[in-house]
Order: sequence, then structure tokens, then C-alpha cells
Amino acid sequence: MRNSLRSLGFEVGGARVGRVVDLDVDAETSTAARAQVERMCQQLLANPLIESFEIEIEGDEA
Amino acid sequence: MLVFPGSNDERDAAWALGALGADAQLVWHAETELPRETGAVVLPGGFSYGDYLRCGAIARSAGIMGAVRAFAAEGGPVLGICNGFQILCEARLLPGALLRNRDLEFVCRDVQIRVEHEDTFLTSRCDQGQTLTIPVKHGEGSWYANEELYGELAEAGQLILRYAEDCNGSVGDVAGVRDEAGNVLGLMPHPEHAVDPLLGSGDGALLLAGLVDAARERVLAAAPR
Repeated sequence: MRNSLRSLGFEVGGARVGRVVDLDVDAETSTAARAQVERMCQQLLANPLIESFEIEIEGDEA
Repeated sequence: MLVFPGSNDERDAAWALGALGADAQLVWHAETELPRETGAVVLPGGFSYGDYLRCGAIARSAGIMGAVRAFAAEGGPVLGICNGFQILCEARLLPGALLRNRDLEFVCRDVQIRVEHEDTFLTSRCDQGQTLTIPVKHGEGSWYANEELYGELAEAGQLILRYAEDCNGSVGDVAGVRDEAGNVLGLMPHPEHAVDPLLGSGDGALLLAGLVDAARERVLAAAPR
């Protein structure tokens, strides 16, 4: 991918492809939502031996 | 023999085990119990659940896996081949993880693997240091453990098979590992595809015959006298 970008004339240093998972969860607070997603990451979404993860919460206060 | 959506080596493996005297039954992933008198569990190769998320990751929560965990916990022999190995790692029944091959290419050929330890059910019919010719066919077979984990596993004798040639970039050229107790094993090469010299090698039969021995012992030990 990096080589491909370079061959198109872009000056690219590092390049990596990651994974984004969008989740809709019901939670009372953003803290509670974060805690739920944290557990999902630990149990399934990320393999801690080879992956790290970051969680971003976007509130939809319905 | 477990079958997940996307498994594709279950029939070859069942046939090979049958030729070695076992009665291999296919068990669908949505089942919640293993057949009565199960002597060993095999997780075959393939692309379970389309390799979504990570290879083997989705299969870990399949209905049958609770029964497999219980079987493993009480000492039952469990073998994961290729995708089955990936599943057992994702289920954390085996140490390490399988990454994309170092050269990012699917590797599909006979490789030489070396038996590091003969004190497992899979290698009981082999000699330590013996070299076997067995095919691999995988894109994500580069076994990984960090330095600390690798050191612990090497020390404990859990790294049971290594490639005797450059294969996929696995740490320490590891091709197969066992769990701490020694009754859960996984390997990337496919012994079920090497059970007849007509197909290039019969060396896989040496490994699978050890599994059949262990399964038979377990069934006989559980049988009413």
C-alpha cells in the first residue's frame, strides 16, 4: 500500500491499515458505554497478544 | 471432528483418522455436546466463519466450544490443525497467536518439520529430532509470541514442532505448540494430507496415529468394566 502510494507520487513515510468497528450500544452514561466496549475488545474484538485498541465514544443522547 | 461454517479439511481428516482405526464423527459447531464416548476432539483446517475479524476469532464462541473447553479441562486430547490451531489460540486454549505470513503470501507446499518433543500424544510415535515431510497451506500461519512468552514456552517444552526450513516467519520457526497440561495441541501443517506415500508423504500418519492411540486409551479408560 505504501509502495503504491509512493508510485502515485505521494511522499509517505509509514503506512498501516487498521480496523475500525462501529458499535451501537445502549448505556446510561458514556462511562458505562466505554466499560461495555472495553470488555468486548478484551474478549473478542482485539487479541491482546498482537493488537492494541482505542475506544472513542460518540454520544447520541436519545 | 468439529465442523464450523467454512471448515474444509474435516473430511480429509476424518478419512485419515478412519484409515488409522478411529471412528471419526463430524460434529456441527452449533451442537452443545460432544458425542458419547468421545476419545479426542479435532478442530480441522479451513476458514471458519470466513476468517472474519481474525482467523479463528469468531469460532471461539461457537456453541460446541463450551463442551470442548470442558473436555480439555478434564484432560481430553484436543488437536487443532491449521485453522483449528488458530481457533485454539484465539480461544486462549493454546499460547501465542497466528499472524499473516511474513512474506504476505499464501504458502502451499510440502515442508520439513522437526519433532522437538516426543512426549506428547501427537508425537508419541516419533523420535525427538526426527524430520517429517508434511504440507502446509496457509496465509496466516506465522506463529507469534513475545520474547518473554516464547522463553517460558521453550523452557516448559511446549514448542513441540518446528519448521526445519524457512516457511512463514514464525518466531523460532515454531510449527506446533501444546498447552501447559499437554493435552491441547495445535499445528499449522496438515498431517491429514500426508497419510499415503502416493500423495507425497506418509509422515502425517505417524502424528495422527499418536492421536488415535490417545483417543483409544481415553475411551477404554472410561468404559465400564
